Amino acid sequence: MSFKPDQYIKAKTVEEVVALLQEYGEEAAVVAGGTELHELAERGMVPRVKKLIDIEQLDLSYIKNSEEGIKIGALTKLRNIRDYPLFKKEGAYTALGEAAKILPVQIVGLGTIGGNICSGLPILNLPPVMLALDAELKAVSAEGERTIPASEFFVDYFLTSLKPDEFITEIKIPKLPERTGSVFQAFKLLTVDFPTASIAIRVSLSQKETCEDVRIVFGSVGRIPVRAIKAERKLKGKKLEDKVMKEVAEAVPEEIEPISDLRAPAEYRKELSKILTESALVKARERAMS
Amino acid sequence: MKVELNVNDRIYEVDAEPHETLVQVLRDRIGLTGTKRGCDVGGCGACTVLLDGQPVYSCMVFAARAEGKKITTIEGLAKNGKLHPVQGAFIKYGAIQCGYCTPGMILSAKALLEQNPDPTEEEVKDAIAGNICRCTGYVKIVEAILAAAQEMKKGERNE
Repeated sequence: MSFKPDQYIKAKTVEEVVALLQEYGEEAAVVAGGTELHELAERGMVPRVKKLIDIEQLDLSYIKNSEEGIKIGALTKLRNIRDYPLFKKEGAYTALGEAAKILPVQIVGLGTIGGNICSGLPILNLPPVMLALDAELKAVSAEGERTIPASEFFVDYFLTSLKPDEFITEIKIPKLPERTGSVFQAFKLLTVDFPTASIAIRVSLSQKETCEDVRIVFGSVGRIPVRAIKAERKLKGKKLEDKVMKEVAEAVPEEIEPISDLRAPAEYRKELSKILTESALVKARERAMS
Repeated sequence: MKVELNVNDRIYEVDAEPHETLVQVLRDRIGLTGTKRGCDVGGCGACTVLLDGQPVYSCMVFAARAEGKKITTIEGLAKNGKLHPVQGAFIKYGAIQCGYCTPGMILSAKALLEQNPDPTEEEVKDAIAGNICRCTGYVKIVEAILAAAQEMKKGERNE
């Protein structure tokens, strides 16, 4: 194993982390929950890392809900995401709770929402949910703060638009309109495994119950979370009848062109994406009307 | 670097490399080999220990991260030579085959029963979903945990 950092630093403040990142850049790795880093280290994928910057003691574990939306501290544990009453309730934000719920207890007690997103892994659960809910990420560096829309965050496998001297401190979920429902579903071979395919859907309905806005985002089917924009366009303005949803689901595999890997060949994922689209749309519609 | 760990209410001061994980330090530096090292990537659950009462994969925790927290390993369960009710039930119900998954499985079960003294079968299955047994012994494991729950409730009434 080529992972041989020479220092483990327990940072106390955001300013301290920022200064360390400015000094060490790509030689530094921020440790939030640490779960992904261990996996990467074990696979020999972080040979350059010399400084481990543990940020556990930063005051970044919170969920604040206001009229402007929901602000979630980057160090909020997946367990707290899973158990937050608004995310457990059937409605606009249910996808967040569901994404944390299907993980083993040993992970939700360690993993954080920030780490789950910043690992840049499309097989983790929160990335597609971030896109589905139009989340924004607050990045901090010595130069100041900037906001990165989730849709621009994921660049390639393990690669995000985060610069080496930046780290994420907060996730903002906009206040979603009335009559909105969201869903996260995943097909997994084992609880401890990553999904073969996952989906995050958010549907907002008009007063006449037509589809006003929709996001359909897949995890585990490509190198980054994949949005099915054509499918979304087909649904907009329409009443979400079973027939319409089925038709849209049928066309999804052509649009998203899933990958083949050790978990499944592309053909298998095509079938899965169809099934997941239909079942998640039905559920999202139900939640939007509840 | 020096790391001070509270394992089963005993303080150990060890020298560890920055990248060393809790499972490595427990086994190789402290000598508590009850915690098993399986996949090393959070996929099997053999290394499960309790950190402040919550089950975690100790292969995913840097040893330095565990400082200041209360670590419980399988060695810390028996008190005064008497097995913990979950341990007793695993033996009684034949929930152990090769035994490699057992320490992790028992700690996941203990954490569950402390948070939820009267779990349903589904809740038991959820609680041990992050622990895999390759002898396919899940039925007996679930039976043992449900029985331990009853045993622990009885124990409380008698106290």
